[in-house]
Amino acid sequence: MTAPIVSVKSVTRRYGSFMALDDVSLDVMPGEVVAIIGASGSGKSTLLRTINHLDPPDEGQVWIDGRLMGVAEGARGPRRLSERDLRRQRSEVGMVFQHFHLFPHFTVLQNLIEAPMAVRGLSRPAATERAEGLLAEVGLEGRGGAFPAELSGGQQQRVAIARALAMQPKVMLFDEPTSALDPELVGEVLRVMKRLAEGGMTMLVVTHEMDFAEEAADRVVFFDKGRIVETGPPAQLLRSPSEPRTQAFLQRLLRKDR
Amino acid sequence: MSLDFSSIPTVVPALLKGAAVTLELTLAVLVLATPGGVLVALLRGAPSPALRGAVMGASWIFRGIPPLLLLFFAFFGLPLMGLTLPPLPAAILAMTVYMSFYFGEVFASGLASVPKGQWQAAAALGLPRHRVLLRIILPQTIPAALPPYISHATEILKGTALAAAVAVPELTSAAKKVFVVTFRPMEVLIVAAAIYAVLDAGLLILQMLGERWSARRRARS
Repeated sequence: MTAPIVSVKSVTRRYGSFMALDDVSLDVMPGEVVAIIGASGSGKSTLLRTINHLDPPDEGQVWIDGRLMGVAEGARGPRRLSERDLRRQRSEVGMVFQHFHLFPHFTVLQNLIEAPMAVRGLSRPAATERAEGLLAEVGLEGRGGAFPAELSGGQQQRVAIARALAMQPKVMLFDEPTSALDPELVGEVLRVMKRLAEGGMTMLVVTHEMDFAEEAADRVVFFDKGRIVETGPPAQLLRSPSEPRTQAFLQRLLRKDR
Repeated sequence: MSLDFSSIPTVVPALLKGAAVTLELTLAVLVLATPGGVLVALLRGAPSPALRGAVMGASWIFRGIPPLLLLFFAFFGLPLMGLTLPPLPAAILAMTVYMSFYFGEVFASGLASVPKGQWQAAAALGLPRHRVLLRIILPQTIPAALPPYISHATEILKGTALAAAVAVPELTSAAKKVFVVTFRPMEVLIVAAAIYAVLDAGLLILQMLGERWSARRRARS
């Protein structure tokens, strides 16, 4: 049996007295697509940020591809990883944000080559070649010279996906990637994500798009009050959830849709 | 009173020499106080409350006392502590310290104008911290920080006249020296003012270029 590529072990994260994550454990297998659903404030986004240690957990561990995030195994036992090594670890996890967070003063191309050059040491021509390939993959061939402000939200989010992919990450984290988009632009972003999933990328996707969860995810995880309440294949969890809290959440969503 | 500029050509070289010193002093202070201001802005957001407090205290003191007093400290006070500086370096030091704290305020509000998500996105990509600051964050402070920055830079340019008090031969003191000889203070002062205006225009052009740079990059939302 293959080992999980992401392993979250008993992770807890508090903000003051608020428990954002309460003893959360989750294993994700290579190539698996996990949709994370739940009400806002339930801890879904915090989970993503603890996985790449943008927001390190108070307790518990995160393993990425067999390596413990943020911890160096030294001869004298484990110690905190240096800032530099943590950055290197983090760069192997791609992240896509709700509000894109493209660098507005950079062109699309500069957004895509900055980190591969600075972190991976790629030459400019090599980074540019990779970036142009990725732009074609997300349907933005030839838009490298544009500034983010000149693109639609859907285009910006596709650039953000390409920017994360340019680091050739082992895992991609998506934090509500379509929530800030106008409804007519959601589809183009989801299509790119589906293709990525079909290509074998391991993905954790915090989302309110139940259609995407149903069609593209291998597994759905339902979060409530910082805990995983229920997890299962989409057909089962979305159609016939066993937990009353999951049922209530899905019913609220359905009512909103009508 | 009638103006007579006929004697001006003979004094122009002396005025231009003064202007060169003014420009030198201004540029030196800009070059030093700009990173100084970035440092002050960053320290104001430091995690340690003691460090934050110290910077706020220093900012309150150095922005609160007359720059002329600082200049006297640098020129007359430091020698008593074993550091004797010639007039120009003393003026550069005093104005750099003074302006660093003003620029600190400018850059602090500039940094506050950059969305937190920019830091997060850069960190998520694994970019080194100094690179995040220099390449990602600081350029984005330009739209918010540029107008007050240029206005402070103009203050520096004008403020260099204070250095006359410690015998730095800058433009204003050069003008004074000249009109004492020519007995045509009005004409000489008008020419000196015109030279200041030209130098000011240089800063305004810098501002225009900066604004043009940021216009296309500014998010529409």
